[in-house]
Amino acid sequence: MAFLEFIKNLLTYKEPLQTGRFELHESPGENPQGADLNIPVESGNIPGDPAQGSSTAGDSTGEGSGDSKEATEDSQNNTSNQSEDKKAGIKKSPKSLGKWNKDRKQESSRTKDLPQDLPQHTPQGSSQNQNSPQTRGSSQTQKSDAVNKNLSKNLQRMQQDFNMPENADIVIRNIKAGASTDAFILYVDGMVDKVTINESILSPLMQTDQGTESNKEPSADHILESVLSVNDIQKSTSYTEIIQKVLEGVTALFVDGLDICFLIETQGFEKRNVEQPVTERTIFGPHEAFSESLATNITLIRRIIKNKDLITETLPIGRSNNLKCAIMYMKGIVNPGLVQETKRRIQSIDTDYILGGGELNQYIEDHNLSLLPQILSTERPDRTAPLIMDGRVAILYESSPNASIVPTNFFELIYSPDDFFIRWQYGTFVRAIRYMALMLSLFLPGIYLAITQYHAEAIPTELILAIEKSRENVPFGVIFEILLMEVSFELIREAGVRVPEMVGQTLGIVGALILGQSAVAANLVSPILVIIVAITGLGNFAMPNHHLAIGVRVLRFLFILLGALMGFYGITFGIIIVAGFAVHMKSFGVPFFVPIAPKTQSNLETFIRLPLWISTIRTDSINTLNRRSAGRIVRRWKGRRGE
Amino acid sequence: MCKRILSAIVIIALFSAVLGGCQDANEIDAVVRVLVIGIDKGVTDKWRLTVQFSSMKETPGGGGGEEGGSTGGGTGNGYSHVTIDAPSFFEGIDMLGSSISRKLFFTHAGTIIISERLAREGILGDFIAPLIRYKQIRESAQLYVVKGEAMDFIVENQPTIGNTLSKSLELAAKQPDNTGYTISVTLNDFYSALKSTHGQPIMAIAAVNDFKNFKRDGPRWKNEFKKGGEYKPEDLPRHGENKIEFWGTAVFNRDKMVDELTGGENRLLLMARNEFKRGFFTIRDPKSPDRIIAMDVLKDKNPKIKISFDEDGPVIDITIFLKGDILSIQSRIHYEEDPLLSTLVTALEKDIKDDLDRLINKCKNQGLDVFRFGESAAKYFATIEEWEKYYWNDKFKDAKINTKVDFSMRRTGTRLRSSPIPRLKGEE
Repeated sequence: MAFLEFIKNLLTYKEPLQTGRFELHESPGENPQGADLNIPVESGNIPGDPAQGSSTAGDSTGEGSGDSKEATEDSQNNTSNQSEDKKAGIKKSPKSLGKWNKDRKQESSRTKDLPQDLPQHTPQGSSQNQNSPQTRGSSQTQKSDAVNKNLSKNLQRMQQDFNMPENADIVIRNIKAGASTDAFILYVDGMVDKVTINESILSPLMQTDQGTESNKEPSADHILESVLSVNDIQKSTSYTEIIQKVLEGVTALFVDGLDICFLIETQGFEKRNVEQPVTERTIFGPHEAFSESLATNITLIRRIIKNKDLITETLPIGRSNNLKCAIMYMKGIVNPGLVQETKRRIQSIDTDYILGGGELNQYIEDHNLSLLPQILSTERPDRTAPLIMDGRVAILYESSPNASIVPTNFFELIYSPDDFFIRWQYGTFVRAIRYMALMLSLFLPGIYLAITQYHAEAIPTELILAIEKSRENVPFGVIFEILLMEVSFELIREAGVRVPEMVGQTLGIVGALILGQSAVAANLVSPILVIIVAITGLGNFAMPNHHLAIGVRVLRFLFILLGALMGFYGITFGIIIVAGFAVHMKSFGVPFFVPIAPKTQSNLETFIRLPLWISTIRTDSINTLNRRSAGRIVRRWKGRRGE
Repeated sequence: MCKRILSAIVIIALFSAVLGGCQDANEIDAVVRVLVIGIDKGVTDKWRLTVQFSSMKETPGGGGGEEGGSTGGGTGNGYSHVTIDAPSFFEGIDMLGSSISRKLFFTHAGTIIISERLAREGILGDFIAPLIRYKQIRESAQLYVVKGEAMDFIVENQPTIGNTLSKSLELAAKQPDNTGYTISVTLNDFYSALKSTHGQPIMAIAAVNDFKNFKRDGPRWKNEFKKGGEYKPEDLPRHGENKIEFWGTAVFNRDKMVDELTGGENRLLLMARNEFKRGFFTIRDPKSPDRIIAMDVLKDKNPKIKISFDEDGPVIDITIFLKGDILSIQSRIHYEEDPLLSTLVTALEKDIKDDLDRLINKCKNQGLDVFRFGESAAKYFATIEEWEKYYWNDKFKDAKINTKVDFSMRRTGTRLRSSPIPRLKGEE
């Protein structure tokens, strides 16, 4: 009976209208950037808004974050909040403009009631009390966070906080500023540029002729204005901020008698140069790739988009390793809801350690079970910049040579920057080739299996006789043959990644050839199968997005299985299931299969690389503030009719 | 929620795999694919069934045939064949399993050969109708009536160009487009025509030519005029190459073969059926009757068929539109321009029209509408019932058929005119 009940439940199952997920709706106007972070884009999130929970987590020593998780689950399960339940039936996207405004007004009045000193997205906000993992959740004796006037107390505090005797690479240098005043500088060895410290900090500070009046009473302004010859200096009174900054490569200067500390920008660590992209090579266009330095990465974008409205906000990721990431977007183009959602997701992550983009993507993507990537990860600035101009948000990382671009859709994963550097006819052609490659790498082995096992009548007589003759001495079934070859191919590919560079390529190709040839010679597989596997592999390599390529590799095995078990029917079945999942997916509130399902504007661009002067509208699905990316007549020299 | 969806998917996947999936998987090399099926009248049982298949051997000449295969018969090129007398086709398949180690598979049987004896006996319906029901039989398989025994045809069929039997048979079925001397009839075509109320079925004729009509010595040809199309199947005076040939048409009255058409008649049949593509035609030179003119004749437009009905029966007006080039003028008379050009065209039109009239009369007298006139006639009836009550196949005997051939000369080959060959003074 329970089983029947279960079946009945299944058949009568209705997905709740309000899923609690983020959806990217049209925005009526531009939001003041970063001002009210907690305005939820969707009314469903208001009562148990995870954003509030997580961003207040810093104050409430860890407990808040636990609450926020619960709140998130609750709002997704759609069970706890009565207000949500009431709205659930009525609210369906997209809202009308008036309603949106009304809701928004209500929400902002509600958020005003909340304490206004919420931590902003500055590093100290989230690093408060959370710098060391062992203190999380435990009750900690509260020390004063303010810088003391007494230099020795500051020194003591810093030595204590930095675990000084054990920590070998923290440098504290005691000096006498202006020959009389005690002071010390603090930096992390290796993270700083020593030339700057020697010439622009120590040297001016230690000069004796500092001016007569300042010898008596050290003044912060005097030091800032007249002594230190470094371009970027900030004053800070918070130990937490100081510690954080010092760890990032800033030099801290404490002076006796001052209850402030100077944070002097002296970053200068070893880093890799800007090099060629590794996985996304193109023939035309720039050959620069992101590197592991955040500043360099931002610069690479800024060099392409020289516009004051290109906003770069830095956020810390990883509670303990405090890596920085930067989100970049075009103010005035991007949908503010998207920026808020991106920041909300990044800030709400409560984990000690995140290393760059590959890991963060997994924390912020919508569907963790899916085999398809939902965030466009690229190592090319020239791929990132156009998408920022299109109204996306790009996330750049310290220590990771990739940018994550949200939202994305399936078809963008097939595009390559190459498409746009060549004429549109050629671009369309190579794009078609890539779609074909996708189909081949996904379906070819499965279809071969289905056709030979179930639908042999679809093969021309001569071909099937040839296949049969070639298989005459092979003792195994086709499915075993295919799996054998596919697995060996995957082995070669995986080994090729790890083999030293000098022998890598040769080994890969020769290995594949030798394996294929000798497998045929040993009557393990038939020659035609080697062709099938080779074409499949080629198709996979032709895909421009590495993440999608891996997903397709995995899916291919699903189709092999389905083809072997159920023939064409199985493959059709698999396509329906996979397509169903893919269509159901969203990338930051934007359907994954847009603009095909659901249909939006600029459908043609998906398959045809439209001439640049024809595509004058930004991507419709991401609801940008500014829809038009070019004038109505782009080539004004030509006029409307080409006269 | 996620759990529910997941379990729903698992259940649906399981159910669909168990209930709906294809269940007839065959390892590709675990079956033997029959390429040609031959049907004869049996001796020890009703049917004599011959199947020809690839012996899966790479090198030509390897291996010998199993039972029924004479020396070199079909085995030389990596093909083998078996013959058995059986009460039914399907039982025969299983009985053959006693000597063949693999399952016989008919999905690639592109050719079905039926012996003339069987066809003339009128028991073809007993065979074709059940055969077409079997899912492995392709309805696009080519059907041939073979003069003599189907088994002999299979034994003698040894392609000399290439060593792929299936390809040579497939290409032979395309020959009607090139020569017009044979016709392409598939199992589906024949079966539909067998059931139809607006015509009679036909089938292409295949034959084994043992070159007996080719006389190496004897009095040589003088100035008589004979068209190539006048030969009968298995009588073409040729020598060499494959022994088998496809020539002419078998005309059926329902499932009984009643007559056969020569290659030349087949061309006219194709013209009337709107299946003619092209062919080289030879006519007597109107000005110099002991010489000939050869022309390349192509279809120009679809034939125009108008049908009216009077109390005696249907009146059919058919106009056939052809076009063509001059290929050779032996007499070197300047036929390329008017007024001689129209003389030539009229001569050709008359020649084709006379032959067509003769063919139509021959078929009409037997009440055999093999020209697809019925299909055009059916359009004049409002309902199928009315049409069926008209009994076209009976009325066709009384039909009055007016033919017209419209030929237009397009080009003159690669020469604009034939210059006379200069002779010495004495010779003139």
